[in-house]
Amino acid sequence: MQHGRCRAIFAQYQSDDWITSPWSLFETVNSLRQLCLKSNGPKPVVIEAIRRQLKHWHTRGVFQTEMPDLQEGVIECQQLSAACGTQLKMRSADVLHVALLEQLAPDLFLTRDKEQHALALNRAFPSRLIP
Amino acid sequence: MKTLTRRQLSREPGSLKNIKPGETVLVPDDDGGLIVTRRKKHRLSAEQMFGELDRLAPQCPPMDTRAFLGDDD
Repeated sequence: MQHGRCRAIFAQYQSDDWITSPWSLFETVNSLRQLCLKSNGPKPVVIEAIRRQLKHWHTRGVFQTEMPDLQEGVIECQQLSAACGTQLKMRSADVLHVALLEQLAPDLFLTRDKEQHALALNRAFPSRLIP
Repeated sequence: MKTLTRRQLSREPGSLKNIKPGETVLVPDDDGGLIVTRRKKHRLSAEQMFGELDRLAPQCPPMDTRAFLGDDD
């Protein structure tokens, strides 16, 4: 919410379409909710307001949700695991993010996760790591 | 303009649902066909979106979200 670097990146690409999927939306909102567990974290009502705002931004903002086939995504996960599972750190949720890129075909994948970034580059998806 | 045959539409009805804002799809037939357009969105600027976010969470203290969520291990 206060992350200057994410805001800078967002402003840089504000004229582009930001593609989300049901999986990335779930992970985003779930992570926001988890912040409420921190002792000085945000209140649940604030997170709920942000969730609704994110939904609103899919109508008025730059976000648009695509609906990839999750079963196809899991098959891609298995292929990614077979190809890279002994060389890279690959948590299952991270692998699914990268696997869905095959269907979403974005011009650029933006992530703050080093493992997702490494895996995406390994599979030749254009990726940018937000520091 | 993208064209979709009636056969394609009946096999994949979701293909009309997934058209992008501002995109138009033609489904031709003998009477001229069906034209489906999704209107372009009025997009908020980044500054407008940051403003909306700041109004929602003015009291949120800065926090290292990545460390807290365990993404740095």
